[in-house]
Amino acid sequence: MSTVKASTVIVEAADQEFEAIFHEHHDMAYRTAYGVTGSAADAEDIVQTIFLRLLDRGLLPDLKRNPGGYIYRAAVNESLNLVRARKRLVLVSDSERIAAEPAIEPELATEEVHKHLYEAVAKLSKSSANILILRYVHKYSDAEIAKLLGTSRGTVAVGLYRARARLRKWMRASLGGRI
Amino acid sequence: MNPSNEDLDKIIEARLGRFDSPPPQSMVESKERTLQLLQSRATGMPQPETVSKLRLPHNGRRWLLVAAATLVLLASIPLLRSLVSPTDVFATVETTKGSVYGLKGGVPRELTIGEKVEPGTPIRTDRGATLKLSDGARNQMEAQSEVSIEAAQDGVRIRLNDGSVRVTPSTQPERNLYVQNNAVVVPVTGAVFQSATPASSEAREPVAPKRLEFEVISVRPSNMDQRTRPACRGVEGVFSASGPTGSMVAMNVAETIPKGRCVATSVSLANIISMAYDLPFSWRITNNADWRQFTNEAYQIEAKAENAATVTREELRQMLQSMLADRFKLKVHKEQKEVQGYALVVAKSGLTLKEATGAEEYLEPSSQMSPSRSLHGKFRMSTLAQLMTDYIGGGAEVADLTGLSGLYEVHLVLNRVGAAGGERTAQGPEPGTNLGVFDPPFFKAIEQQLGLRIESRKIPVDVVVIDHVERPTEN
Repeated sequence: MSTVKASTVIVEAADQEFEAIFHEHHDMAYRTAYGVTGSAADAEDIVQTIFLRLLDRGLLPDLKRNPGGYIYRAAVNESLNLVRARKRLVLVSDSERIAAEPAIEPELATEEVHKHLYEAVAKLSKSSANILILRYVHKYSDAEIAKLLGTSRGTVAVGLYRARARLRKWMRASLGGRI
Repeated sequence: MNPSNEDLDKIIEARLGRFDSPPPQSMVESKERTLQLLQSRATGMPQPETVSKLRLPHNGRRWLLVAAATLVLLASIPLLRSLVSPTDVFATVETTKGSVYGLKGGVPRELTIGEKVEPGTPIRTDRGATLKLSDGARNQMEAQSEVSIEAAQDGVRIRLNDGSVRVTPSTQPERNLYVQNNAVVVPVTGAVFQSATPASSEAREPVAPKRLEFEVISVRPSNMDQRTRPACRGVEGVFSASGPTGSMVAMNVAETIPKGRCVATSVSLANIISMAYDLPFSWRITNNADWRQFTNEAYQIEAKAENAATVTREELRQMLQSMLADRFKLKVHKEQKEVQGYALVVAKSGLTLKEATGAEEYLEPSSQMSPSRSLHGKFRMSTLAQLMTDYIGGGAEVADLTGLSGLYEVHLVLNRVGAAGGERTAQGPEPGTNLGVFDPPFFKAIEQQLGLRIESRKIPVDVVVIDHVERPTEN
């Protein structure tokens, strides 16, 4: 098969670049996904989805320009989609859950605050979520966030302020006087 | 009390600051698995030394090059298409040169032309045969070859266990098609694809069933009072011992199961057996041996498959069966028996459901907080029957006797007027007792809204009879 030989060179060159990107950015993508979803299994699924997609589409110009930013955004988007989808996924078939009547907690559980916060973050715009997660999951400074996202420090600071204000509003609406 | 902005800020700051960091070990392991998956998708990517245990066999590189060429030529394949329901995946025997066998429970049975073979069933030839897949693709098996047809995450996979195959994809493929051998998974599109496993000079038995086992198993007695359900994660997702097609597990449990693992913190032996043999109810287990001694015992189980990223639900079930045989010395046989249950049939007024396309899925949430219960989704009748089994509860099973094989869009809204209780009627348990009491009654609502009828009658079911079982051996 002559096609094997002809394409091998191309493939191997692309492989090296792909491999380098994978090793450099895997951990950041995984941490991002884990930070947002809070689940190791989901984080792994998300990271695999991202890199398989890259494998499928090839190294796009956007990715080559700023691989860290590209993969980070993909990880945030996938993670937020998953958190949003969770709200849609109701296990009507799970008899254990169906049988259990909803209990009214006298005090708000820690998990519930966390869940509402995840959901509130999922409602943020992509750009706001990008900034918020870099700050709180990756503990980046404004300058580091600006560099990774290719924007200015001022934009990052304003974005963070707005993101927090929106979170306040949604948390107040969802939790009300229970906190 | 309404919190001030300042209080809210403190809470948000504190919580955001606690966005979890992953345990380093889990990240390293995950990276390794992802790398393995990428390699198996035939990128031709050089393998780092750190994952030497994942190295391909000697001829693996050649495989990668063939696969890479396929990828380069066909780079436009949409990799992540809609999920495929295992019920969509099957093969029929189209032609044979000699004999072709299906292995069920390790026992070979000769297949006839036109016979439908379920996914996961190893198919073996002596002189060659052609299989037609459910989407029209053809798999030409050479002599002394063994394959099984499986549902992959985004399509169908032909797992080549031995010998060689030539695969011709459908002219109008509905989903991705892959061929997997012990080294790589390769997508097949647009052309005939030929694949072979490493040649063996050794003479082989005509039929050699393969036993699937976990790579690592830990079984310990559990002291927890509360029982939990076992759960496994295959490529199709997380599944447990019950639920529609065994696929739905509470989200908080599902999140904790890594790929290719089966986990249980405090599970009864009956529950493990139910899961291993795909039984919706533990009453489907009967015993010749005295195993009542196990009813008060529970076990903590963690098991990991070697091919964690690609292992299927059916393979995990077979691994659980091997684990039960090895660790619990379990011996069973199957029988069929008639039991009182329900049959899901088309109502006399006719079916009101519309046919749908794509994969089975829930379309809208159903609120557990609301007095009404609703079900919106795209389901096959077999799945709907299992959902009805859950809804009715009480251990009564609903068998799909509609004769319908398509996918249908289902919208069912139940108006709950009373709590889950347990009135009994002449027909059996009050319909819908697992969810509550409804107006109109559950059976009536099904008929009115779906054009389906649930009838109380005797239905045939498979039961697993335990011949022998012991307490598990030490790890």
